[in-house]
Amino acid sequence: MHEEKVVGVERQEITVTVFSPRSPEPMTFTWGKTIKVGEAAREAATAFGYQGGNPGLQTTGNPPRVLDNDKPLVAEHVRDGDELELVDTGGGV
Amino acid sequence: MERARAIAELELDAARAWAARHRATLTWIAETLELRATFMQPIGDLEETFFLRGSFDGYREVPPIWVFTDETWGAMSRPVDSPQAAPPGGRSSMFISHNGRAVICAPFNRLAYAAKEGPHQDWGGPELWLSAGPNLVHAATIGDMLQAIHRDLVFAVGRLS
Repeated sequence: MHEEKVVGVERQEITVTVFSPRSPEPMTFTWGKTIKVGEAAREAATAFGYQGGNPGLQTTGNPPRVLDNDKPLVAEHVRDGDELELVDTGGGV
Repeated sequence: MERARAIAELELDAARAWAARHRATLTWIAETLELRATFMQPIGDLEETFFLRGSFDGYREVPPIWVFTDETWGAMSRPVDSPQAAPPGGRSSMFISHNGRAVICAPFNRLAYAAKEGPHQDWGGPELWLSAGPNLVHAATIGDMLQAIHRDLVFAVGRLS
C-alpha cells in the first residue's frame, strides 16, 4: 500500500452558520466558494421559510457588513466556519 | 386583540434571539401590545441610543405601527429621535421626513400608508402590506422588521434633524 499525499489541494467548499431574524436557531450550509452571495442567500432564505423579498447576507460583526449579492462568497471574504445572518436588501420609500 | 397578542408572542422568541445578537434590548408589554426596542448606533468609539416602539393591535391583518420615540417612550415621530437616512449599498433609505414627521417608510409600517397620513397611496392600503412594494425592503415577521430597521440605523450617522 502506498500512502497518498494530498498537497496544495484547496477545499472548494465552505461551511457556514446562518442566523435568521425569524428563527431562534441557526442553520448550517455548505456552499461552493464561488457561488454568488445572492444565490446562497436565496437558498438559506428558502430553508428558513422566506417567500419573495430580496434576501442577502451580512456579517455578524458590530456593525454588520451587508455582503454584495452579485459577488462570489470568496470575493466577499467569507471563510469556512464563518457566521452570517440573513438580511433583506431592498430599500425603503 | 387576543389573536394579535398570540401571533406577536409566537414571533418574539426569534426576535429576542435576534436582539441578543445585536446588542438591542426588547421589552414586550402584553397588555398594550407594545414592543419597546433600544438600538445602539456606533459612531466611531461612541454610541448613540435610539428608541423604537411598535404597536401590534390588529397584527397581522395590518402591519405594526413603528415609531422612533424619545427616551421616555412618549414623544413620537420627531425627526430628532429618528436616524439619518443612509442605508448600505446606496439604496433608498426607509427613514424619511413627511409633513414634518419622521416616518419609517416601508411596507411593514402602518404609518407609511396614506390611510394613516403616510406618503403611500400606491401600496393599496395597510391590509395589503405583505405584497406591497415588491421591490422594496420585505419584512414579514417582527424579527425581520427589527433587522431591516437596524440594517439602516447602524449605517446612518446622527439624526434626521
